[in-house]
Amino acid sequence: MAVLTMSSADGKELTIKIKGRFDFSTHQEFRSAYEQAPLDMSCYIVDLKDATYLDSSALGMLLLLRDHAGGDSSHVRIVNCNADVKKILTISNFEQLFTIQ
Amino acid sequence: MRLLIAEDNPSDRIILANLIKRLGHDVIQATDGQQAVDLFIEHRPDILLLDVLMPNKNGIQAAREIRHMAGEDLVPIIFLTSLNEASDLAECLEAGGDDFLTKPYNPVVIKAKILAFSRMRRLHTETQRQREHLVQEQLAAKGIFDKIAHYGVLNSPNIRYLISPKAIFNGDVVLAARHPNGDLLVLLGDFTGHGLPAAIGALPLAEVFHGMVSKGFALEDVLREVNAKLKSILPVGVFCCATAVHLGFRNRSIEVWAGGLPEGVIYNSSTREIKQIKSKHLPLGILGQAQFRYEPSYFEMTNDDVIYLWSDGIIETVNSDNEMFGFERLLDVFAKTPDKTKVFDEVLSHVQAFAVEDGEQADDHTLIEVRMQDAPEIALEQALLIKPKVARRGLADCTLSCELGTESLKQFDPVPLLTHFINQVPGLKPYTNTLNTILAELYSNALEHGLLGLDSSLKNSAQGFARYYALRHEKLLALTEGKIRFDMTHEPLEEGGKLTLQVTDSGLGFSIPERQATIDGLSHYHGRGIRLIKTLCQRLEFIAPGNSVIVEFDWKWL
Amino acid sequence: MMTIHLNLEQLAELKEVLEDEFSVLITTYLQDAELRQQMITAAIQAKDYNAARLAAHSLKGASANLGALMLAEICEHLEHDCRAGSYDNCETYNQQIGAEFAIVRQELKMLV
Repeated sequence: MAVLTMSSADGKELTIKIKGRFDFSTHQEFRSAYEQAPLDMSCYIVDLKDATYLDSSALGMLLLLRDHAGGDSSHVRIVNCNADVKKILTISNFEQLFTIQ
Repeated sequence: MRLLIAEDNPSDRIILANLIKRLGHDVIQATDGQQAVDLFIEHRPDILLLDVLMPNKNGIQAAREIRHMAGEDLVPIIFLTSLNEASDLAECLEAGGDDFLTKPYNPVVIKAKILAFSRMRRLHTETQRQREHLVQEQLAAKGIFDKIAHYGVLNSPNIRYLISPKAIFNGDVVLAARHPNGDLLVLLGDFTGHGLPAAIGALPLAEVFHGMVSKGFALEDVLREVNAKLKSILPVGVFCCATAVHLGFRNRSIEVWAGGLPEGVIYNSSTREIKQIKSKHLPLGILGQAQFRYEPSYFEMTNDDVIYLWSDGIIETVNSDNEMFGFERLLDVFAKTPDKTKVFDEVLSHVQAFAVEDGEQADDHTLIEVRMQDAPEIALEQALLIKPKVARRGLADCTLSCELGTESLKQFDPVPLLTHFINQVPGLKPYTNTLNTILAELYSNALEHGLLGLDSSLKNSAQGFARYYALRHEKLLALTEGKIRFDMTHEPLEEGGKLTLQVTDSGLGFSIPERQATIDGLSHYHGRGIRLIKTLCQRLEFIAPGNSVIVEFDWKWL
Repeated sequence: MMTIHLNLEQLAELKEVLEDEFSVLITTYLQDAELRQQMITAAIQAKDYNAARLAAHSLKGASANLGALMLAEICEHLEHDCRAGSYDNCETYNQQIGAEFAIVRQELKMLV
């Protein structure tokens, strides 16, 4: 399974963990992960610890999640980025839209 | 359907042939492996049934040859066998067999398998047809895309570029256009996604870009408009990484906005200095109008400067060890190539040499090189070469007065609009470059010196250049009061006309004698603009207390 | 060990499918089987066990298709032994093939 979903104890925080390549093939699973969760999440966390690769379609998917989570009022954190992933996010200046850790 | 059976045993052959004929198919019979291959070539059957043990080439060898010949086509091969060793069966599959029929032949089983394979064949043919259709569509889209994305001034002598032949599929766009005053604007874009969705974004991008640049709009205005357009038409998650450059030959400046593409480079071939153009913005099409940021970098332009921009392809090309070409290697190529005219080719050949053997990545690059051009004179000459058959109907005798208040000055560049207005005088069309230059120069003079109090001598040093523009931005934001007024009068004359233009700012002005003295003896950038205007106009006069300039431009029908 | 020399049900089905061709089939089989038998005998004599194996394999398949299941089984044994390299029983098997085939031939001729 390339995408794992976990809820926090109070059910308000959704963590989506990506394993392996985060690219176009992950699209369906990623979408299902947040679409199937209840709508009133206060925070979304995308854990990229085991993600080996990120391409522009992954960036697109992050934007879709942000849109789903409320756009400008959303709280989406991208965590556990390795150097390569961080580089891609930096070039795209995604820290202007997401909290990146 | 047409089936080929290869079976050396005659009674087995009779049984099988008849069973298949009974199912309504045509049968071609071969008695050994070689004959099976020959008959395959001749008749191209839909399905093959091959006995494994046959004289004169066994079924396995025949299958291998037939597979090889079939290439992309789907030709199901069913082996006939009473072999039951697992290793034998494995070998059959390896040779290209799709299934087995064991002896004794069971008519029900035979019928079922033939049916299954014919279904598979139909699906395969359908898929191939759809794929062919898609390829045709994409080629058509590419045709349109090429026209839109590549027209403009990409063929200027100071530009070299390579667009990946897969551009339609990977969303790369390169655009170049000229301001009426000769300035050059270049944009390299990379849409996310592939194929048609990526190409569709390129069309409005190119239209807005070319349309606005030709009217003299500033880079900021162009990008704001492009961003808004893309945000409105692209779905969430699709965006355009881009780097845009405004080469201002008039004031020797390079203004760069970078959002999402890997670093570009300004390389000075004589000092070997490399300045990096880093991405500081989100790509186009993501932010709404209010949140869109425009925080460009400024560089001073020298004749030996060359700008290099690329989409992902170059840096991320991998070799057989899965190592990336990387930024360091690129800098190395620059360092090791003394002849600036060869850098473009050197970069490409190094990347191609580095890439993985299979060659798929070899020319999947989009790279653009832009050299500096000398003087705005080039652009002005271009204008005079145009001798359109102008309609003689339009504006003739007219006056326009326009005053911009503080809020307007902060948000709006009036130069394109005023240029457009005065262009409505038919005979002035060939002089658009000149007029735009005059208007732009007087306006920036009024705004930057008159209202913001900036000192042009700041632009003399490399650091100072960037500092000047940063200051300009800061001071403009902080401006609380100030106005600029334009008064234009046009009077038609027998052989042409006379345009009088006065620009007045609400600043303090300066002492005139001081100004007059410096204009004539000047060798710095800031005076260059006014000096240039002086050469273009019949009269240039500063009016006390120095916050108003009046120029006269006489023209003749061409 | 099969005790039936000919699977009559299988043959009936074949007759239904082949109609007029049925007798051609029987004739063809009988001719071919005769040939294969001779090939086996010659091969064993020449100690060419690979040739024997191939001929036995062919006869096995054809016989199975005609419902001569016992004959097919004996051919299988011969084929297996030749492949495995144990040649002691080859001659015996060949004789058994000859005997069984005689019965099969008789029974098949009755059907035509």
